[in-house]
Amino acid sequence: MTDTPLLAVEDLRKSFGSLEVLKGASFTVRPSEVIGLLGRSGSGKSTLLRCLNMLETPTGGRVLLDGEEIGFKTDPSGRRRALSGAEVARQRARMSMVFQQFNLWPHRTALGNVIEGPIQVLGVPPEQARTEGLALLDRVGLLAKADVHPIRLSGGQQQRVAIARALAMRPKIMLFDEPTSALDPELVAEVLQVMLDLAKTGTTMVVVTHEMAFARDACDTVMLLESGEIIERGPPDQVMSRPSDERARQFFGGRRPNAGAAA
Amino acid sequence: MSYEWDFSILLQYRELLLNAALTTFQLVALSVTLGVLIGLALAPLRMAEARLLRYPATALIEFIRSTPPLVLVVWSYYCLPILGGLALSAFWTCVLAIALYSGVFFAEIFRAGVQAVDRGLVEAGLAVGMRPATVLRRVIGPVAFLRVLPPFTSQCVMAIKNSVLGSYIAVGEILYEGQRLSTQTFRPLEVLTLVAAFFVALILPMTLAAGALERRIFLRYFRR
Repeated sequence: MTDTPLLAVEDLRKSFGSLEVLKGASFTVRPSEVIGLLGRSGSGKSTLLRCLNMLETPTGGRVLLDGEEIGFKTDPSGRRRALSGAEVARQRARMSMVFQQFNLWPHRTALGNVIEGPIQVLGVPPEQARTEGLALLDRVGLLAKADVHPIRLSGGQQQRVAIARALAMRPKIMLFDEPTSALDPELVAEVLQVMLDLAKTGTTMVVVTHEMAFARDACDTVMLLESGEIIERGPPDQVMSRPSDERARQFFGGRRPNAGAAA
Repeated sequence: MSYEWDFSILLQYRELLLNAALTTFQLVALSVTLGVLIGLALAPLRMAEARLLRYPATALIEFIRSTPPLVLVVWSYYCLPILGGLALSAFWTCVLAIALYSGVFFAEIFRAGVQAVDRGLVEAGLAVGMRPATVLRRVIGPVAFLRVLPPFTSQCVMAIKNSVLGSYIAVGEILYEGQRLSTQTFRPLEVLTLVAAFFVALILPMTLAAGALERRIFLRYFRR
């Protein structure tokens, strides 16, 4: 791990109408760092994540990936303007996302979902994309399901395909938006296991999650959001067992990470 | 019943009947093709954020939808030449009227199909770095297509049925020629039964195939 930030978030704000859901979040992500975003429902953690790749357009602040501002451009005269759809698309290709509802494309097979981005966006030759796609499906334990359509897969399998699809873009950073929240309890572990492997092999990740055990085991840093503000941040042990903020103590009071659940 | 069936009459006039059937096919093919184009043009306007685009498109769609298709055919035949000095043949008037009528329904079908595409699928496309146009082509288009295939087929069937409205303005399609032939030969039972059978033979396989296809699509891509 080096200390140069891969991702820098500066005073990020987002309002929906008069409702301010994100009130100036700032943090950095170093290469290979795994960050967990925790907080109760409605605390703004998903919005924060979705502002990183401009699925939500922030109303203030900046996101920098490798020093390049995401979604906006400041021209020499100092005027800031929103980038075009094509320009944002080029930036998004470097930061993959895994969604709560998997969002696999129903008309494509598992492999088809994985190779779509590389072929359409990166221009990888189909044969090469296939070979790499199969290797990725193998990595998430689903090589046998390569030619199966998403509806024939369990939720856990679908989410693992979605992770393979995100990996196929060779992203600099992976964003996870509550990846296990839509899963039946017995399917959570298989997805967390894949994510844990990614974390241990140096993938840079920002993970919105309610899985305390995963946050403790996989994250280098966790941040607790409350009402659109980061109220607590630091190594998981410190944040979870000795939070300084009263609201954080309340949050973790009811959610002790039960040992070994993610392993 | 003392009526003596004599189907040889059909054989005797087969050339005339085949030509009439051909006219029906042309009428359907042209009006459906044009109707799809109208639908593809109207649907995005109908969904546009700008009211300046959305309101006129919505008005046109609702207006045409509430007009009986026969009224549309007859109105076009008599009023278009007066209004626009547009002197089209009966055939092309009929193509235009049925295309417009089908087109507004196609527009609504396409709109419903696109709006039924899960927002998450679009976001997944954007998240891997697809441009908006690529998302439209690779995600929204194909998923919406699978969703709209059944209602699209029904609307094509309606266009086939509506093609007989041409007979009212003397387009030589199958019903018009059939009626003429039946009065000339005094053989309405044979000739008109053939006309009815023609449509059944055309439409029934289509609806059966569409039903089977719908089940297959549903099972393969959407059932949960």
